Amino acid sequence: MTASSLLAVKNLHVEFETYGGTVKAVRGVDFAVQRGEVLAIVGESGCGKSVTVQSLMGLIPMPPGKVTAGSATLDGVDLLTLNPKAMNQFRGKEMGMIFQDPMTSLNPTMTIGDQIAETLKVHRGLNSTEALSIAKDLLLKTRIPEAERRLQQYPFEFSGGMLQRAMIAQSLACSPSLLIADEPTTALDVTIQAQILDLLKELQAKEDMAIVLITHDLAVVARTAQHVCVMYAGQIVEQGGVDEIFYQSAHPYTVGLKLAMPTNVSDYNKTLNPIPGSPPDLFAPPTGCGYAARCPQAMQVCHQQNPPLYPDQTNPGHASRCWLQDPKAPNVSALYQPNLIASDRS
Amino acid sequence: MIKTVDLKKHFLIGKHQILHAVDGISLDIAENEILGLVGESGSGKSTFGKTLIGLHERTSGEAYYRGQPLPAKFTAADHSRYSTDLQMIFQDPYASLNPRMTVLDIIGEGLALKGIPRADIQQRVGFWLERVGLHPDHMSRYPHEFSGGQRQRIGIARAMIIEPKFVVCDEPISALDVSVQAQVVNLLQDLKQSLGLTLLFIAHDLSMVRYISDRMAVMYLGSLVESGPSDAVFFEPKHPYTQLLIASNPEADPAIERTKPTQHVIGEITSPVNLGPGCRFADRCPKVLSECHNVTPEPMLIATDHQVACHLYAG
Repeated sequence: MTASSLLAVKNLHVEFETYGGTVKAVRGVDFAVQRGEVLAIVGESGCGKSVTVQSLMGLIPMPPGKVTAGSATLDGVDLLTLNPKAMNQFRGKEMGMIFQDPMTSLNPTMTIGDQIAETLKVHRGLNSTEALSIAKDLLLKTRIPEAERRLQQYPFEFSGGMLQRAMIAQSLACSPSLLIADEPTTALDVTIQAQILDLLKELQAKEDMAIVLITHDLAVVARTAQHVCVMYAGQIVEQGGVDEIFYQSAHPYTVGLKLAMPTNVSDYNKTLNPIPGSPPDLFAPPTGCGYAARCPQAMQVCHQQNPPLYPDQTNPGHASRCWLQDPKAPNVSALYQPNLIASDRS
Repeated sequence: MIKTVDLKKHFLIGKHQILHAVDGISLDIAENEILGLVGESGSGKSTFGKTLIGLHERTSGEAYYRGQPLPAKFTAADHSRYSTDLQMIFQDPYASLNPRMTVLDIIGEGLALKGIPRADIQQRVGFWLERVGLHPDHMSRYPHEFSGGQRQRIGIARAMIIEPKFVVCDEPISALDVSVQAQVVNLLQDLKQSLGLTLLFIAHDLSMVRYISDRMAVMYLGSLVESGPSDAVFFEPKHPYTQLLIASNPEADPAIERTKPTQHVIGEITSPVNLGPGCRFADRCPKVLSECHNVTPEPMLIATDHQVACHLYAG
């Protein structure tokens, strides 16, 4: 959005050719990440959140995948036009990535130390001794005890939480300005999740690193992010600061997600409100709003035309893709806000 | 309704190593209640549930169903006798349905084993498909034609068609999206009320367990550290491990999250192999006392129906 954004993604479209037809996985996504901030992309399975970041990293297998339109610039470099060789030099150095399942993302036949050192050797041209000594510092930075011994161990000797730390250490090796974390804590227990999220926040502040956090868990978003993009059916339906997303939700899908979750308030009469139906088929995305078929507030226009992104008049940066935000729409102050507001609870 | 006394399940790994998966659990589950069982992976929750309904052989201890002792090792006759009353819903809706069977055969298998005529089975399967929010026409389809949430409903219908009295739900919602989780949780609550079911609800999502359960029990390394009414355990946790677990549980509320102090939890769950005496949590406990390493704390009542096994509350 602004010239100083670290990462700017504009009008990104990603498709996959399959035997069943073309899946339009990402259908026009725009967002920007500022230096040193945590941006969360939240949405349910199949909404295109992982495909979005994988296309930025050049990790989409092509074919069958294809970026059909759009641009993505990191620090002035257009990521989508880099050739594979240039991408290899860029990836791991300027931007790091950690994955959901650390067990399958690390090489089981290499020691942890060698895997971290490899990054340093390739990108910074260090020799083995120098690289291993930096690898040890990185393990200490991610709070892995007995770093010296751990360097010699293989991934199977690590627990899930420790492996995720090792993967974070590896991605930090070249001090990237952007870290992409794709569901980094989904496979972990809640106590370990808290440790990893705290570690990420601490590193983000200390290293002045921006983080794009992909998650399906609104509670993780509330704990970690400053800005949020809510994705549904390949599009961003609402974006803004974390408080606007939680307390002034403008899109019925965001409201629906909050109503479907239990609040930690002692209240026996509260029932959960599931969102009826299921997401649309992205082989043939609807011409109207992707959420219209499940939306309790859907109007006729919602089924016919996809709404533009309406900026929030009072909060700059907050915007939602919903016809209810149109000046001609009926009054939306009735849009039900679940009692997630701090003042309601005691 | 269900009662266990000092129930143990040990697995022998290698020649001399013993894995204490479930190590002395005494628990009561009352008629028509939902007991939520929480704990980290490897704490023995699933093994406890499976041992209870005879899917694992008990190492020692006792289990009772409505006052009758359950056998330590279920024979084929025991399985067919108890399976009408005790059922299970599994975690992974992708792995727990046979991909080569139609929905009719999957859901109706239990009835077919009882020798019920096929026409009756079809009619009952149709009824249950509708009851769990699917369509009777779906019975001729195969599992791969359904989404995760729909498959989980098929798993629920399969357990419920037998009209069981007690159902072990092993992480029934962990694999599902938020909006679908709510659908399944509401369905389970509805079935509990309309059929008078008793449920053991195993999960690691603390907010969801508090929401659905009447009572909550917390396991750590095979032993029960705390149990009591859900709100008491969730809002006033007494055992240091429960306190740690609740404090780690993120809430979908940024204002609350900002006020939470960052806490650096010490270490991770240790190995349940060859355990000695003493409190299982002693190595990680911020409030550890000298006796914790040597003496196993006994569960004690600290309020009505609220039990905790911790030396901090002794004397």
